[in-house]
Amino acid sequence: MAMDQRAGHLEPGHVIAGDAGLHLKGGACASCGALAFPKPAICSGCLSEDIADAPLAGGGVLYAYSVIHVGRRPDLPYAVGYVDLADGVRVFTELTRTDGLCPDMKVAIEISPEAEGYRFNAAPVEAV
Amino acid sequence: MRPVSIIGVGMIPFGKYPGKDTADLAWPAIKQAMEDAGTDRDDIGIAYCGSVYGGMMIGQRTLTRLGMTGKPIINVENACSSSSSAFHQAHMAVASGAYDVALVFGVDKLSQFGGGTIPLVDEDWEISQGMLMPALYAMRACRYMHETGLTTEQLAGVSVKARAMGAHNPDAQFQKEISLEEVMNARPIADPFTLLHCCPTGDGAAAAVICAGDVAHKFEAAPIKILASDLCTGTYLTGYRDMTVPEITVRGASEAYEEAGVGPEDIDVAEIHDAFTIAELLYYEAFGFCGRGEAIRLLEDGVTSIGGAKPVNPSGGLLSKGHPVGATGIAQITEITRQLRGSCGARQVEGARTGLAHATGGGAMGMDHGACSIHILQR
Repeated sequence: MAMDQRAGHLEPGHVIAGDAGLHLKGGACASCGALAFPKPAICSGCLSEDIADAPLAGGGVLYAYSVIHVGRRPDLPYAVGYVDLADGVRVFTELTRTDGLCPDMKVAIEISPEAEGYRFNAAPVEAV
Repeated sequence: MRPVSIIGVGMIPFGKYPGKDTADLAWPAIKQAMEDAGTDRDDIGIAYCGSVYGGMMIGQRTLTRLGMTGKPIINVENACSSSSSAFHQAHMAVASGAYDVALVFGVDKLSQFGGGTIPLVDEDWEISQGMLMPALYAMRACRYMHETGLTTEQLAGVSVKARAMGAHNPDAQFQKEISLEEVMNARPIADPFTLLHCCPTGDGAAAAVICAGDVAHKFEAAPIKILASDLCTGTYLTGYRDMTVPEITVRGASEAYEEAGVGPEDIDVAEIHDAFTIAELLYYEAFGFCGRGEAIRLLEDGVTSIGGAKPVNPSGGLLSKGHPVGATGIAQITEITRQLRGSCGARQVEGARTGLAHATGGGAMGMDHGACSIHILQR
């Protein structure tokens, strides 16, 4: 299925270069300030179409995760989770490992160039 | 708006029917519901069909087989809430006075996909990143276990209870009890879920005939009253969300209780959306059957088993009866109707007077769920 091939891959439009390297490109509403990822064409809060590129925080905490054992990917098992970024956005992402995971642990977003876009996941930094 | 009653229900046993078209699954359930109601084809003023994977015009393709054409037929897709949403629409059509009698049915054939997780819409960013329904529920379980101390073994007990109930339901996909060890030792799917924490994929159909309350007695001596018919959508959030409190169901429950004029203490039997084990526990709390963190006590004390004070999913629920997504909502309403009539045999909840059916689902980024439909019924 297509989704299995795109998991962990970011199109170039979802990435922005910030002060300290590559960041997820969110959208900040110029009218009400709401922050969203991926960057929307219209603010769901105030309907403004004036949305500025916003580099999202490079780290946050792991809200919840699951290790997946099924599907068509060749690299089973793998782990996915929700990361609560420091700027208030929650991002669904793959995790770099399947062991030693715990909700509320600190994680760092990792983005690296790959063919036609970027590789994207979150790496545990330390348990809290 | 005027009172509306259920006068007939029907369903086919859930399972796998590889040789049948989706429409061929649906017509026997409709015929059964029509016979149960004592309605002729000409009595039906409008028909609604809920289905996710039945394809374009599944309602029309089904009803042509029964010669029921010419009148309005409306197809409703709302993920796992498709036929409960269709039921909500049918209820509005009759309650408004526009029609006296409506047919509503749900059907899906998941065996067409050959097993595995159900296909989702890749345009959703999270789904494009590999979100699967088991992963979504597994993360809810992960967080709930982290916050409350619930163990994997305790969670597995939900499946054991569901299969024990389904063992007495001739319409259930699984009619055999299972042990805690079997649940724990089944192959892993999405931690903490093994295969037996997940509802099966399968095929099925269910149907109901509803009627204006003041003419229901023409067809049925003991119509079942629809006290509440609620449908709501999840609230969209771009930021943090508490996955251990299903806001869409909490809100829907509150609306449904208010519409019905009853509270959680009045519910004698409930069919709730246990697509995965954790869901059953989250929904005990969402419906106010217990307080936060107390759901496992209800399960382990037998409160939600047959013979307990608050039996939940006597049909076996999605975990045992099966979950052909578009058929689920009406199948739940069929079970509650039969429970209130006292016709459920070994799985009968004695003296049940008021019951609740709850179908919610649809993975959509930024929402707890895409849709949730709750019905409260009374004899």
